[in-house]
Amino acid sequence: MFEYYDGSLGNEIQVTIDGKNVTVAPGSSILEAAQQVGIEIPTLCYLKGLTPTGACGMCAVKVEGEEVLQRACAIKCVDGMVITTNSDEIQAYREERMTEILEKHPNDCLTCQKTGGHCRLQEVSHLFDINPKERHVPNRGLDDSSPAMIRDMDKCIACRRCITVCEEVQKIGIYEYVNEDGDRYVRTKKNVKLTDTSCINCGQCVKVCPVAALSEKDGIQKALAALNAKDTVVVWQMAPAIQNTLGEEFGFPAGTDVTGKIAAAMKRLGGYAYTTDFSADVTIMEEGTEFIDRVQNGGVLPMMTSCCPGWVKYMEYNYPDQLSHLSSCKSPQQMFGALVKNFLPEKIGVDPSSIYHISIMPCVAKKYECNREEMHSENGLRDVDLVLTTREFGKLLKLRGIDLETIEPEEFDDFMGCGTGAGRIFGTTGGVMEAALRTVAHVLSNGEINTIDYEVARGYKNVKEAELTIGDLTVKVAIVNGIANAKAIMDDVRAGKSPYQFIEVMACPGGCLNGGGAPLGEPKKIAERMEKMYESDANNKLRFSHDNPQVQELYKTYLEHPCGHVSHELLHTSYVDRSAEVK
Amino acid sequence: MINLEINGKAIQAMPGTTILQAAQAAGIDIPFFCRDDRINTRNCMEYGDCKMCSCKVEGVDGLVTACNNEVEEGMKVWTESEQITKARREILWRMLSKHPLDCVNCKKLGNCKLQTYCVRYDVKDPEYRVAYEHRPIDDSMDTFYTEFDKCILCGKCVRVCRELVGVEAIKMVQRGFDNKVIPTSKTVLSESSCVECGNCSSICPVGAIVPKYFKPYRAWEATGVDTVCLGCGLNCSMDVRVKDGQVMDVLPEEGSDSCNLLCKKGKFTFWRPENRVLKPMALSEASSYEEVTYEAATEKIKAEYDKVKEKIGPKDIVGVVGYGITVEEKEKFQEFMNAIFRTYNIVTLDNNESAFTPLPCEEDKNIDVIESRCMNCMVRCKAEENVTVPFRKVQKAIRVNYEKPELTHILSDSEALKKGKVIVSIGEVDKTDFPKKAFTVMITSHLPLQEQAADVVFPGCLETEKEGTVLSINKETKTVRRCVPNPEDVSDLAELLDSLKKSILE
Repeated sequence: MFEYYDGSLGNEIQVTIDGKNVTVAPGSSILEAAQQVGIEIPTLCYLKGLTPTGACGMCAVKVEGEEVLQRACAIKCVDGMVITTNSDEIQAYREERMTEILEKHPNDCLTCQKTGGHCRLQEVSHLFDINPKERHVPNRGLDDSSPAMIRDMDKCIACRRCITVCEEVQKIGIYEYVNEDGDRYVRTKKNVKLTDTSCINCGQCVKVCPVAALSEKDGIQKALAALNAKDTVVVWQMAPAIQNTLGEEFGFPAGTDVTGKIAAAMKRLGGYAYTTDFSADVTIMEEGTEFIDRVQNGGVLPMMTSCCPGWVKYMEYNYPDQLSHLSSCKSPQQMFGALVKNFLPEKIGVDPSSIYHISIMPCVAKKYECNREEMHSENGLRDVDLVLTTREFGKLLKLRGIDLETIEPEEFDDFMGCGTGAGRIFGTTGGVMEAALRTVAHVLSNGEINTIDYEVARGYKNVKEAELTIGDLTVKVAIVNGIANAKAIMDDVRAGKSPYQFIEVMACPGGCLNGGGAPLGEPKKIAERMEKMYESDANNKLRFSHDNPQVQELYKTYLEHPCGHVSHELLHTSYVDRSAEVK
Repeated sequence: MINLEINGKAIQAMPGTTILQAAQAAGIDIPFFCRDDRINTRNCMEYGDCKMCSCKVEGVDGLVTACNNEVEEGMKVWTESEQITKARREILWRMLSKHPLDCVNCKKLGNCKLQTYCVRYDVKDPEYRVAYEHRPIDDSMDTFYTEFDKCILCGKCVRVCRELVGVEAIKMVQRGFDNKVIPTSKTVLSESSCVECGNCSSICPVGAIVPKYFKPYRAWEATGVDTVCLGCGLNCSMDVRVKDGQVMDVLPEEGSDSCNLLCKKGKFTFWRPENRVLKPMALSEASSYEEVTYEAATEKIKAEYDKVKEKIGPKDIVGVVGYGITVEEKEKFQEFMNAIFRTYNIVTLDNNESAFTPLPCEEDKNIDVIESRCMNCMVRCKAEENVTVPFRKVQKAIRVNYEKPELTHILSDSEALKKGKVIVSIGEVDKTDFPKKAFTVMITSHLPLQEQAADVVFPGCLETEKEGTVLSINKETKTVRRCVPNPEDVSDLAELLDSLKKSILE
């Protein structure tokens, strides 16, 4: 997904589009060539970098010498090709296709989840003046079995983006395409509910769905209800990635650090504003200690990170015999939740049961994670009550008339509001590993090694490897992004020939910055987000998780020491064999 | 200062502020449709029609509207609760009962207040539908259309038209379920007194009054640029909506002079990229314009220059500065005129006080100057059409004793210009009265309406394609920001003048 053309494929070729001469790299499609010179061709199903399906037909163009119209997304440029992108014939064809789609699409844009900026159909349909008199909504029903996402197949326009992403990017492949006598749509394989598939809730399909056929389970109304309730205290946390991506929903350049503005926005909505950067630091303390313990006392190796709920679920479905490799630490979100319900109430003087804890995540799987059975405290309170995705939170702010652009930055609240640079980079692939290495090396060398930048952990490569020497110990680590790349590594682990001691996996390509709940972004945008995130890390005075004063205070007054008794109660969890759940 | 509590938060407010204003100042968002802060007469403060801003004040039975109730000492206000949500839902249901649910085709999608509040209060479908008389789309105007089926009767358009613009082209008639907005002519808008200022479309919270965009776009696809209009000397602030390097729409912005209004020029016409001059043109022997190259056009000027430079003095050469010109460009033009023609004989169109003479008011002697400057602009635009002027009181007086105000145009009047033998003009000159025999060079983005006004025409930039500063008629310096890139082959005025100077003096 992150690979660019480097000019190695051969000579460039010349084509003519609407009278303009264009020089393109070999292998470019007509659509890409047109985009290169700023000619707009409407598309509904095209996704940059993935195999085109040609399903929507909106990109039809005329290629001289060809009798029928061609799909610009699927046809590769040939030297000397002459292409017309706009004529009456093309317009009529596009209109016909759009009419066909709109006739079957329910017209409930008023409160549709993707309305107002997230619906590709709204953008493209606007180019035509089509108002079908009669609509024949297919009535395929709603699948809301999953706690993370909703499938409303009435809205499906059969663009097949979800199939492409699930199969090509994530290599899980739960969807299939159906064409029953011209009635085209997408369903799950074997036509079962989402909870009966091996879906890990990564949400990449939700992100690319051009309409609201796939959407995250709506949390906005619950959030509004909690904010409106007079006797409820709302406590917010937001993932590291939010701070470098939410700005995009408000027109900031990709990656802009809007931490202070979000803190102010949270307070204006009502409640206590905190950042998950804090519990990311706690995670490093716990996970780092666990790793050192496993290395020194002959525990199960390689140890694997457990921050990503999609990855955890993938393990539970596909490698249930290898669950002991997963760190027993809860994810930063759940750790934060557990601390909010147990540690914070006494500090701020409120009753734990009156706290409603909302977390903002760039992730759809987190909605599932917070609903996992084991994720509650001894007193029966859920660690996290509600998860909102980045997109949902942006929408919530807009609904409440809060503009991120004009709001003045504020500080987070006390006790759990401090995060280090190490906590921040949890949002990008390699970040958890880098943050862990900073602290682990410091601890193992008794404070002598204080390396900050581990360049080997950075970048987009699908699998990154590194070998580090800390004192007399050699640690071999692997960093995986994109769940598709985890299979080979896991097969090695299962066969007992894995050379690694520590493996980090993030299910989404690029990490949480490109999570299923994050704003849609092209590879270039993701790269910018990543760059800015490392910048935010570098601008932070605190670069080591163990230097976080509030974390130090937490251990001194409450948890005593990492992986101690209280930690085990609150911050660690267990996993379940789910292989039998898949139908 | 008055102390009160809103949503449990202690707030201080000046006496006389409304609950809504106090909440807004504290960053608490209370929904509303019909409130408009600009219409600040006592009468309109009490408008309180949509009831969307209903809040709970402790100790008061029922709900009170926040927009027209003033803050009181010790008041405890709650802006959101179950009771309030229920009330607001009722309002939304009532509005939806007569609203066509055709959002996918609606031009307002994504920027619609009704939609935002429906999402906010979880109103998915109308609870009930009411049969209503469908009204055809009024397409009679060139610049915008009305689709009053979508109207939610907030009344803002009517009030802005009447109170601020002073035109009263639309009005509200009937009551209850028959309540509706209609043109005062009772037929179509074009037959009413509408001056196409478009302020009603800028204020409409739904898709009932919509500009005719020259290219379809969705609200979220565009980004805004804050700049000022260069259409006249008032330089109203505006928010230019840009998508893919093209201006899609212009919205009025809160500014010192403009009180958040625009006239037809600013809103619809002045920035339009249609019928642009994109290539240099010269008047051919058959008295029609033909496209020529930059070199050929320059050559033509040079030939004329060589021919006349011995025979005429500085007074025979006149520079004209039209609209849409920044201070920097004006300076550059002065420099150019001096370098080539050794003259400072320059006439300017903007900042010309005489164009803004206040209208006399016979009936009410107390009003001798119409204070709001933007209104003057409106008057100026309308004067030829014999319509009317702002403010209801003044309007009444004028209606009784209407005389076409003297709005002399400097160009036709200027003695200097009449004597001119060579005329060089920059910027938009909307009414050209150049002497016929003079050799005229124009740098403009649009051809003047009067044919054959110029011998040589160079393409100029639109107001949205330049940056710099401008001095408004109120002697206030304002910033002009670039919104879109120049079209191909059209260079900035400064560059063009430099290259002209170079090739003429060679």
